[in-house]
Amino acid sequence: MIELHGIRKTFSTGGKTVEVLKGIDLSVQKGEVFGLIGRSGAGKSTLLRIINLLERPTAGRVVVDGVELTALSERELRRARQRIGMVFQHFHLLWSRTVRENIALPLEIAGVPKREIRQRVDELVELVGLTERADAYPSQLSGGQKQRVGIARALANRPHVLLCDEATSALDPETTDQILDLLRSINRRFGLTVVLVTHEMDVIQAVCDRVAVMEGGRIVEVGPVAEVVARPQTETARRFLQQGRAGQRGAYVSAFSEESKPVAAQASGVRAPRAAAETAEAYLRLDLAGITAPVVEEAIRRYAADIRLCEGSLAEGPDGVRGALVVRVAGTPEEIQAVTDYWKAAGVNVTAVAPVAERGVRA
Amino acid sequence: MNVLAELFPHVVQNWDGVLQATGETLYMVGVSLLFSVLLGIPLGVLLVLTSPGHLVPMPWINKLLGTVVNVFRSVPYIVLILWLLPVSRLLFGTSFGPTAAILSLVAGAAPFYARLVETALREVDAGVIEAARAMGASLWQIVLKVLIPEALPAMAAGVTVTGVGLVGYSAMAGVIGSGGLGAMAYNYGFNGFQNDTLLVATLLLILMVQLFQAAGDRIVRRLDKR
Ligand SMILES: Nc1ncnc2c1ncn2[C@@H]1O[C@H](COP(=O)(O)OP(=O)(O)OP(=O)(O)O)[C@@H](O)[C@H]1O
Ligand SMILES: [Mg+2]
Repeated sequence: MIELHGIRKTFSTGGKTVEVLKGIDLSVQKGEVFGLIGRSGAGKSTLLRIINLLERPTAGRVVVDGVELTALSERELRRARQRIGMVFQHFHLLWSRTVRENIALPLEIAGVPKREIRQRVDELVELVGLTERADAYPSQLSGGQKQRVGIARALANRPHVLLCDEATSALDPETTDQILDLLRSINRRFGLTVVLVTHEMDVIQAVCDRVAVMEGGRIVEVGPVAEVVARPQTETARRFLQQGRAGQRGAYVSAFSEESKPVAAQASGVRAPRAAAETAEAYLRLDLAGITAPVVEEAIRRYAADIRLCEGSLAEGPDGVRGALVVRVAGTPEEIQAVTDYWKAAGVNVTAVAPVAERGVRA
Repeated sequence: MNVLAELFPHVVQNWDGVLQATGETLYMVGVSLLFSVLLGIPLGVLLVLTSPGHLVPMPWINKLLGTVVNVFRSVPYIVLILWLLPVSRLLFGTSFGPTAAILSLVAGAAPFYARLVETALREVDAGVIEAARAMGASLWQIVLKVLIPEALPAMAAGVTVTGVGLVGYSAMAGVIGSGGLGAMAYNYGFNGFQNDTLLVATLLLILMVQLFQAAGDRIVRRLDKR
């Protein structure tokens, strides 16, 4: 859906030139929610603005929906932009227009007839749940409501792609969740491709399918969210994972119910190892995406093998838990097999991995 | 009536003259304000759009326009009248009377209003312009649907300021026989020692400005949805 080839961008200010993007290749699939995370100044916004050519790359090609935007004339580019929605951190609504009129603006720009505009605006106002406030001015709305208007406006011309730059960064956590739910449901309903820039790992975990980690104008890591969460390859990704809400609460505990407390205790080594019986050990990676049952707790309760959590991070996503854990299972080979079979039966994707210590990752 | 006739002898005698002078002032101010706004808006829009970092940066045109505007604004109005005498003779066949005055009034007020428009448009949030660009808006659409509507309250406030200024300028235009309350105050009131005429003409000018300002403020308040 979106393809970036060899994107470079240099800015020159006051005689000095700075290379902000240093060769970026990226491909975003149709219908996925793609996250871009990175520290301030990493070049996320610049990269996002290059997708709809608000910023022209110094080098490289941008292809959206099979059309090479970098090869279009100004006029053609304006038409192409009408099918790419954009949502901003600070909403950027026109305060001189009501909710309804703000949502109508992109339709007016696209030259849609008045009657159709009215109809489409009604649909959109309802879609984002603002029917009651449709004739209010932005100054009379809360931040969350303003962002709903921003989203409705971005969707007005039925775009194929939605670009969000820190769409929730100006909102409180609860409102953030509501807006993220809205984005996710829009993505599902319309099969919209979404690119979402953020500096919060929670946002990535809550809505994204894949994520790219940016650092100093480069993409240093890219992959499915569960993958990156379970085994971050770079220091940058690791730091973002620690920062998240999940990280603060204790990654594991947050993902499960009350029952998880004794497990957490085990994880920190409270239970004494049954050294005598341990004849074998296995390090297993449990991909828990979409699993709703507390399968790890259950296994600890029901099986003789000693189970310890080694690494990983989980978070509640829109479709159950997301993320993966690496566990150490120790006991007799039969005991280990029994636990593995149980997990496989429960739908967990189990893969054997190298011992944590050998991979040099914190346990 | 007797009391009035005693207190304002000349005014009562020459009531028609007072009315006519009021009408002349309103005509001069009204017409020149209209033309100043019609000229000032495109000038202000150009000044903003061509400035560095804006939508169509054109340093040369921007410098040129800015210089012209500043030249007109730095010449005192009374001097501007004199410089424009030949121009109005060329355009209207006369350099005398209210219509000739309108030329110099517009020449003085349009650049002033253009600067006010420029300031108003500059205040428009860059993010909103970016949002419009992202929607695929053309330059023309951005100006008409975003920049001007968003700057409208400030632009309306600018019309009030310019109008009040024009009331003052129009009095000076009396030297080229523009007529109006200013000329009346000077000719009859000051030179003719008619203190009552001076007083009434002044009061009418004050009243005019007050009403104009009040109306302007009301409109701005109604437009401003922030
Ligand atoms: N128009 C510009 N002119 C000069 N430098 C710029 C311009 N836009 C961005 N930059 C620089 O490019 C770098 C990347 O900026 P960008 O806004 O893409 O970062 P970001 O990752 O979005 O950061 P943040 O999280 O703070 O939004 C920064 O160092 C910034 O100063
Ligand atoms: Mg940014």
